[in-house]
Amino acid sequence: MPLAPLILVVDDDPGIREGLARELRAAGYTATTASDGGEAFDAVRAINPDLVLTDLAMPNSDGFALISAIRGVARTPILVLSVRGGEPDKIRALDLGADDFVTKPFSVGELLARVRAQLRRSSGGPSTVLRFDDLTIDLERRHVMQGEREVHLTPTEMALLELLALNAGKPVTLDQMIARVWKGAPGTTDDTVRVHVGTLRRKLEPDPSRPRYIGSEPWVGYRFIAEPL
Amino acid sequence: MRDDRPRKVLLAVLTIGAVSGVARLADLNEPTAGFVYLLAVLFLAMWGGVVVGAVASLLATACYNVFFFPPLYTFNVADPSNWVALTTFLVTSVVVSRLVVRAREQAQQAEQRQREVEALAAERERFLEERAHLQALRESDELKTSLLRAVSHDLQTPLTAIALHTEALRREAAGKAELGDTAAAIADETARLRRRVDNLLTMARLDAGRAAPRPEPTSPADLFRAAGENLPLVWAHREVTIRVDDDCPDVHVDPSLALEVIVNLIENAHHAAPVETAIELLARQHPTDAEQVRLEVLDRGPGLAASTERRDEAPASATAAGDLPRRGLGLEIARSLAKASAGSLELVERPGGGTVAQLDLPAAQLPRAEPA
Repeated sequence: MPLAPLILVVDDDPGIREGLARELRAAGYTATTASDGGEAFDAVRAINPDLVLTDLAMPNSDGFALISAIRGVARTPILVLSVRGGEPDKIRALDLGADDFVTKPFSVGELLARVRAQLRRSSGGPSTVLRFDDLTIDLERRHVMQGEREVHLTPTEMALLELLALNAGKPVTLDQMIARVWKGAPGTTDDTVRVHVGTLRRKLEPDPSRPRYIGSEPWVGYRFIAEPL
Repeated sequence: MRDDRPRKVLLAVLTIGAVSGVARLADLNEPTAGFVYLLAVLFLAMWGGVVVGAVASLLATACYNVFFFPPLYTFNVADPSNWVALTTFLVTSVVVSRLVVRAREQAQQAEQRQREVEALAAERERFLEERAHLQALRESDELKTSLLRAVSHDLQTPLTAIALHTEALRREAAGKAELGDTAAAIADETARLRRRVDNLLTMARLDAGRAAPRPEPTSPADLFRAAGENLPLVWAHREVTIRVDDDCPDVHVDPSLALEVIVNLIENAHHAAPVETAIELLARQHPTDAEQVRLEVLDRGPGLAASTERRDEAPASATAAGDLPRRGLGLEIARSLAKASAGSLELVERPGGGTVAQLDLPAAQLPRAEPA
C-alpha cells in the first residue's frame, strides 16, 4: 500500500484547522497543522509535505508571505482558502505561486476534489496525449476528439485548449492566457480571451448549456473542469 | 450704469435751472443764493456721482453769475470782487461734490465689504457644519465597515466549523439511517444559513457602499453550473433541466451577485414545487429588448395566487410556518441583488400551473470573434 500523502493545514482558527485535518484524515490522507505562516514554513522545511492547504488572512505571518517563502525553496502544491469577494487576493496568491484556491464557504467534497487534482498534477509526468471523459487531446498531432467527432480548432483555440487542459483542475488567470497564448500582443484584452474561449466552448462542448470541460472562475479566468482519466 | 449718465446729466441741468428760477422768483440775496446752489450741487453729486457733480458745479457757477451778479442775465461780471466770489463758489462746489462722491463710494465699499464678510461668515458656518456632518458620516461608515467585517468573520467562522463537524458526524452515522438523516439535515440547514448570512452581508456591504458590484461578461451556462455546485442537494433530489439558447448573449453582471439571485430563485422553486416535478432553467435573448438577456426559473408549484393566499392563512403546520418567511426573505434578497446588478426580477404565473421567475439582466457587449 503506498504511503498516504502528507498535507499541512494552516489556519489561525482552531475549529476550522482541526476540522479540516480530521476530514483529510478521514479521506485517507495524513494531516498535520500549523496556526500561522511562520510555524507553517518551519513545518514545510522540517517535514516536506506533499501539499499545503492555507488560509490567506492570518495574524502574524499571513498566507501571502507563506506562499512566497515556500516558493523560494520548494514546488509543493499550495491550495489557498479564500473568502468570497476576495478575488484580488486570489489572483495575488496565484501570481505568487499558489496552485489553486477554494472559496469559503466550501463543501468538503469540493475541497477534497481540489486536493486530489493538485496531488495528481504534481505526480503525473508530462504527456503528449491528454485524456478526459469523452475528450482526447493529442498535443503533438494537434488533434482533438470529443466523443466520436473530431473537433477542428484554429491555432489560437488549440493553444487555449492546450494551456487549460495541461493545467486541468487549476485556475488559469486571464493575464496568464494573454501572456501564453497571445504572447502578450498589444491590444489583447480580457474580452479577446472571453470571445475565443466562447468559440472554443461552442466547438468543444457537446451541450453548451451544461459545460463539461471549460468552467469560468469569476474575475480570475478559466479552469479546465473535467478530471483526467 | 453708463447708459443712464446722459439722463442724470439732463436731470442735473434741469435741477440747477429750477433752483435758479425758484431763487430768482424768491428774490434771494447773493450769499443765500450761493448756499442754495451749493446745496443743490451737493445733493446732485451725492446722487449722480463725480461727472454729474462736476457738470452741476460748472452750471451752478454759470447760473449764479447770470442770475445774481450784476449786470444780470449776462455772463459779464462788473465788480471784480464778484469774480472772487464766483471762483470761490466754483472751487467749493467742485471740492464738495468730489468729497461727497468719495464719501458715498467709501460708504458703498464699506457696505460691500460688510456683505462679503457676512457671506464669508455664513460660508464658514456652512463649511463647519458640513465638515461635522462628513466626520459623523465617516465615523459611522468606519463603524459599519468594522462591524461588517467582525460580523462577517464571527458568523462565518463558526458556520464553517459547524459544517466541518457535521461532516464528521455524517461519517459516524454511516449505517444508522435516522442519525444519518439528522446529520444530513443539519448539513443542509447549515449550508442554507451560511448562504443567508452571506447574502445579508453582501446586501449590507452594497448598502454601506463598502462594496460595489463588479460586472464582467458572464455566460448564463456558467451561472447555472455554479448554481448546481451551490445546491447539490436540489440537483440530487430532483430533475433540473437547463437550456441556454445558442444565440443567447453573455450577461454583463457581477457573477457572484447574479449567482446568488439564481440560487435563491431555485431554492424558492425547490421548496414550492413537488419533488417529482422538474425545475427548468432557461436563458435567452430578451423577447423585446436586444440589450437584455432573460434568465428564467420555472417550477410546477402552486403558483402565485396560491402562495399569496397561503400567506394570509394561519399556518396549518410547522413546515408551512417555517416555509413562508423563508421564501419571502429569499425572494426579497433575490430582488434587491437583481436590482444591484442593474437587472429586474418579475414573478409571473406559469401557463399550466406554477411560477416563472423572470430575471432580466443587461447583455454583455463583446467584440465579434475573428472568423475561424
